[in-house]
Order: sequence, then structure tokens, then C-alpha cells
Amino acid sequence: MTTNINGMCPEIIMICGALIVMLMGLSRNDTVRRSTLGVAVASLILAFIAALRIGGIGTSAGWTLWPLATYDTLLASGVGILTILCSAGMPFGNEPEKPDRNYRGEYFALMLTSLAGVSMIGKTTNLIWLFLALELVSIPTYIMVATGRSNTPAQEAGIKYFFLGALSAAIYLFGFSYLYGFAGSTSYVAITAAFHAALATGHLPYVAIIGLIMVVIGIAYKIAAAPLHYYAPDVYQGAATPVTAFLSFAPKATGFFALIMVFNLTGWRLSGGTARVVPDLLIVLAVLTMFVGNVLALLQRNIKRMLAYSSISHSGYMLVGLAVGPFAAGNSPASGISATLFYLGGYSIMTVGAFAALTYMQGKSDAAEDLDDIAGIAGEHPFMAACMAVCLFSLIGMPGTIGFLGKLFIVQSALAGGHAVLAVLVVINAAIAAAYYLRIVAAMYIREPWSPFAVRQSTTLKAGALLGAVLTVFFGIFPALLFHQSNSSAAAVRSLVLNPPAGGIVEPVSRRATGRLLKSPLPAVAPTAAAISKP
Amino acid sequence: MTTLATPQLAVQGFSSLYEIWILLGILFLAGLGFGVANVIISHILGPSRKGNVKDSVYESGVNPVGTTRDRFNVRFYLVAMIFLVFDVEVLFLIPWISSFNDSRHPWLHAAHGPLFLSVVIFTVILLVAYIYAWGKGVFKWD
Amino acid sequence: MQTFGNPMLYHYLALGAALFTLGLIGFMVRRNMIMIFLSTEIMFQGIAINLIAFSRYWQNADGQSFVIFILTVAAAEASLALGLVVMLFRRRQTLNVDTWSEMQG
Repeated sequence: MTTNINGMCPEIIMICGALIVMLMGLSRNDTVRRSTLGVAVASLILAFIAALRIGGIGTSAGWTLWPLATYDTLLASGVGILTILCSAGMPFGNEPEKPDRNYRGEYFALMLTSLAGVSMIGKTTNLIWLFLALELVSIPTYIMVATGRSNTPAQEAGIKYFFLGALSAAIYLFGFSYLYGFAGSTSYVAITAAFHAALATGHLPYVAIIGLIMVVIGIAYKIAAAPLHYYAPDVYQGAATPVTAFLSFAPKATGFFALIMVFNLTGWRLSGGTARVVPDLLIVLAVLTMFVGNVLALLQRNIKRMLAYSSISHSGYMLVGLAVGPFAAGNSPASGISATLFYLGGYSIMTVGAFAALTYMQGKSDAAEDLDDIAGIAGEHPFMAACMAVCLFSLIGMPGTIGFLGKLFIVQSALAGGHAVLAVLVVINAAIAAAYYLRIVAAMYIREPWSPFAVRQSTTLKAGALLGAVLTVFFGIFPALLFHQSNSSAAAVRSLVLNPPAGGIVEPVSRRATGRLLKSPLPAVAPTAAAISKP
Repeated sequence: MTTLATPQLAVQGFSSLYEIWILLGILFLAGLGFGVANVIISHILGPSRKGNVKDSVYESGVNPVGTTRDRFNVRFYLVAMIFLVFDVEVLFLIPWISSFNDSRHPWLHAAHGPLFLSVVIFTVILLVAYIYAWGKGVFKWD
Repeated sequence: MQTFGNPMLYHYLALGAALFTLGLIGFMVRRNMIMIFLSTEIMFQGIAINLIAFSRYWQNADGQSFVIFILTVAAAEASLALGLVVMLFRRRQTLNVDTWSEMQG
């Protein structure tokens, strides 16, 4: 846990907001229930301000990378506001005669809890905390998927998402248990020290390598990386559209921050000997993810499925940044971490904006999902069509939008890090991706409408879509605000890796000869209470 | 007697053997009182309904006579879920209470305030969950 | 020399890995949702055995406290799984996962 409870202020605010909203949702009074959205947004704004204010606490003292943690919290609360605005389009089981059926309060409580989990990831200093933060993000999303819509596909999606989520949790937990066995402690400081000691000898024990691989595979599920992406299209299609917007942000941000935290433990220096497997795995995942996402997206007619595959491919771009790592030559923008973090922020804004516009177009029934359903919508609803188009152009990577800068930084970092092939593959994929995004834009602007549109007239929803589109362009023209955050986070990672915090060697020292780890008898005495490591 | 017990007692944070017996006595009385009070209170406050089910020997909401392969009423699921929540709560309270007053951890001693506060917060969150379940009508059978 | 009464660390790790693998196989082979869920629980138990064995080996309590948290999260997931299963059973009157494949592509 963080050394300073003040550092946890944003998460505490979010959890308090969640508890209040949950109790408000019980009210029989419709006005009280309706104001839950306002309370949720207010608590996220407070968390955002709190994160800005505590940004400077003990700069990188100990293990907590405050710039990275702050970026994480800002992203969670900022994009969280967008997803909540988008959620104004939820049906919420609104039947005046049955207030029991209304789940507005629960929905926002789950969302805030999940966002608190996202915001926790950057502050974790211990594998236990990392595990709890990951599950804090996932478990609410399972419920949101399954209950957001009352039709069969939503429930099918919910059960798929839940079971595969539990499987992925088991896989990365198995990895965590091996990392603990390797280092003798679950605290990041001790594990970092163990990795440094082992890498200095040039030999990383298999326990550590297997552990790392399983952690990477387990978390790859959260970001929907290629061999583990099967659930994503079904879940994105089945869930209610605002929930889909949330899914395209929260698990992805969680996964990438968690991967960064895990690779920080290894010092990002797994190039020698058998340890090479891990960075190679990242590269394979990145390439597969990009191609699978983009090529399969071309085959879709359902917009939500298309955006699901698009989100897979964007994970691929970000994985390229991770594969490059923090050591790319040259100065700041060339670091892979910085590029990944910048892309993550940009992608979250533009994809949530696109989903907000899509929710508006789908109307109350939340049904219009096919390309035909939004054909020619620009004539009748030019404002929303424009918001959607801006976000889609940004997803393509048009200059002047945040998506362009994100891809630019990724390519730059790949070139600087000596991964020219990866850079070329990113560019090829960006070109493939343009085809299917443009199909949506073309359907909206060029084709004739073939049925009247039943849009959802909601000012909040409009505000969400507008905010997404405006931020997409704003950060595209003035990237400095976002870029400063991502860059200082990457700088913090780099300085941590170059000067790991001292200490953390776990008693008993005599056991640190990890070579004979497996063949040792267990001590006859149980661990004494005094051996509980200090927080 | 005292000389034998002292090192052990000091470790546990007690000053004399009598303190342990007094504590045990209080615990015994509290346990007894809790049980008796529950029986009396439920007798006074509980609705006194009569009926076939109520008069049966083993009353649990399931008909005690008949096939055992019967499906349970799905409403038991909610009871099970609430049970799970409070069952797991104990999992955290027991390590907490067993290390709370242990003088072997000076750093725990120094952190009594935060330690206590953290458990209060934990319980308050569970209380909110309880209120929520109540508000949702989980404890109503009909 | 190794005797019966003195199990080595790798015995425990082998047990943990075996439970994990059994759970994984069960997850893929079983068609009943409750069985699938129980398989993930078995995987969690395998992990718990790993952690406890390492905790004993390193003589510290990190692994044990980890297990407490895993149990908690597993309980939360269990109640969620039961809720989902009840919901699905009401709709389809079956718990076979093969009947749940409406979306393709």
C-alpha cells in the first residue's frame, strides 16, 4: 500500500461516492434516483481534482511512481466522467410502476467501484494489491455486462465474460504465486531486488520465467490481446452500448498499467538467455493482435462488433510500445512507455466518444447495431454524426486528432528502439483500419436513410459525445497537457529502473540461493508472526 | 506460578495471570448472555404464527418429508449470498484481532489507531452492503 | 535422503500445479456451467497451495495473507456466478453452455 494515506484520496472519494450512490438507488423517489448520475460525476470530478493536488507527493519516493499513479488516476476519473455521461443512454429498467426493478444506483456504484480499481493499479506496491485492484475492476464489469440489458445476448455475453475472466484471474494468480516463490515476498521492492540479483548472474530461474509468462497471458486477456480476444466481440455486441464503452476503457487501462507495473519489477531487462522469451512473447502478441483485430474488423457489419475488433487492434498498437520498453534511444517521445501511455489516454477518449454518439443513434431500444441502421443519419442528426465522425477519424489516425499523434509516437518509439519491422507493421495496420472506419463514416454521410431514426434525445448523452469529440481534437492540436503526464510517468519508470530502491532482500538470506529452491525440504516450524513483512 | 507464566504472558501483552481469567470470564458471560438474550428477544419480538410448517420438528423452509432430490427454492440463493459476505468478513477479523494486541509487533502497537480505524471502515462498508440488501428486500421471504 | 514424513517444497508445488491443470482441463471439457465454475475454484485452490508452500519455505506470512484475499475474491466470484447461473437457468431451463451461442462471427 502507499506509504501515505493521502495518496489514496481519489480512490477513497470514488468508493464513498459508490456507497452513497448505491444507497440513493434504493430510494422510492424517482428524483433521488435520477440524481445518482450527478453524484457519480461529482465524485469523479472531486477525485480528479484530488489527483491533481496530490500529484507531487513524495515524487517517486519508495516504490510508488507518483507521476504514473497520477496519470492513472486522472485517466480513470477523467474518462470515467465520459463513460458516465455516456451511461445516460442506459435503459435502467425504467418502469414507473416497478421502482424495485430500477438499477440506476447499482449501475453507477459498480462503475465507480470499477474506476476506483483502475485508479488503484498505478499505486500498488505489492502483488496482493495488484491482484485486488485487478479484481476490483473486473468483478463489477461482469455484473454490468450481464444486467445492463435483459435480453439473451447480454446474458450470454455476461456468462462468457465472467467465466473467461475468472480463468484469466486464475492464470495470472498462478504467475503471482511463482513470482512470490521466486522472490520470497509479495512486495515490489523485494521482487525487484530479486530480479536484479538474478539478472546480474545472467541466469533467471525458470520459476520466475514461468511466473512472468503466466502473468502476461492472464493480463493479455484483460486487454483482449490476440489469442485471448475471442470473448471481446461477443461481449461488446451483447452488452448495452454504454457498458461497451466502459469495457473498451476500464479493462484495457487496467491491463496496460498492470503490465507496466509487472515489467517494472523485472527492470525491463529481459534480453539475456532464457528470459528473452518474455519480450519475444510481447512482440508476438503485439503483431498478432494488430492483424487479427484489423482483418476481422473488415468482415463485420455490426458496428459494435466492428468497434470490438478495432479495440483489439488498438491494444496491438499499445503492445508495440510496451515491447519497445523505456530504453528507446533519444529523448522523451521516443520511449515506448510514454507512447503507450499517451496512446492509452487518447484511445480511451476517442473510443468512449464514439460509443456515446453510437448510443445516441441507437435510441431507447438500444437496438440499431447494423451499418444499415445508421445509414444517412447525418442528414437528420448532423451534430451527432459529426461527433461520431471526428472520433472515427481519430481512431483511423487522421492528422489533427489525438489518434494521429498516438500512432506517431508509437512508430517513433519503435524506430528509436530498433524495432523497424514493428513500426512498418503499425503503419500497414493503420492503413487497413482506415477501410472499416470509413465504411461507418460513409454509411452515415453518403447513403440514403431507409427508415426513420429513433434517436435517444438526452442532453447528457449529447454532452458526452460532444466532450469526447472536442477532447479528441483539442488534445490532437494541443497534446502538451496529456503528453506531459505520460512523459513524466515514463521518466519515472526509467529512473526507477536505472536506480532501483535499495533494500527488500527477504530473510532468511541463506535461502536466496534460488538454484536449489525446488529441492529444499520445507522448514519444520510454521512462519512466526514476527515474519509478517511490514507494510 | 507467576514466574513460570510471566514470559509467556508478557509476549501476549498481559500483566498477570488473573487478567486472563477475568477476560475469559467476561467472554463466557458475554457468550452466555448473547445466547440467552437472542432466545428471549426472538420470543418477544418474533411473530408467533401457527401452522403445519411452523409446528414441524425441523423448520427450515423446506418440507422435511418427501424426496431428497427436490430442488431448493431459488430464494435460498440470496440467503446463501448474504451468508457468503458475512462468512468472509470473519476471515479478515480473526487475523486482525489475533495480532491487534500482540506486543511482538512494536509497529502494530504504534499503529493501533489506524488499525482500529481500518476495521471500522471495513465494517461500515459491510454495513452499507447490509442496508442495501435490506432495502432490496433480500430478507423478506414473500 | 527423502522420507515419507518430510515432503519437499516441490511436492507441494507439484500438487498445486496438478490441481491447477485439472481445473484448467475441467474448464475446457465440462459443459455444465456450475462444473465450469467449480473448475475455476479448483484452479484457485491449486494457487493457494503454491502460495502456502512458498510461505512456509520463505518463513514469512505474505503468501498466507495473499491466500486470505484470494479466498475473499473467490467468494465474491462464487456469489456472482450463482447469480448469473440462476438468471440463465430461469431463461433457458438448462445450464449447458453449448445452448448459449447465439452470437457468431
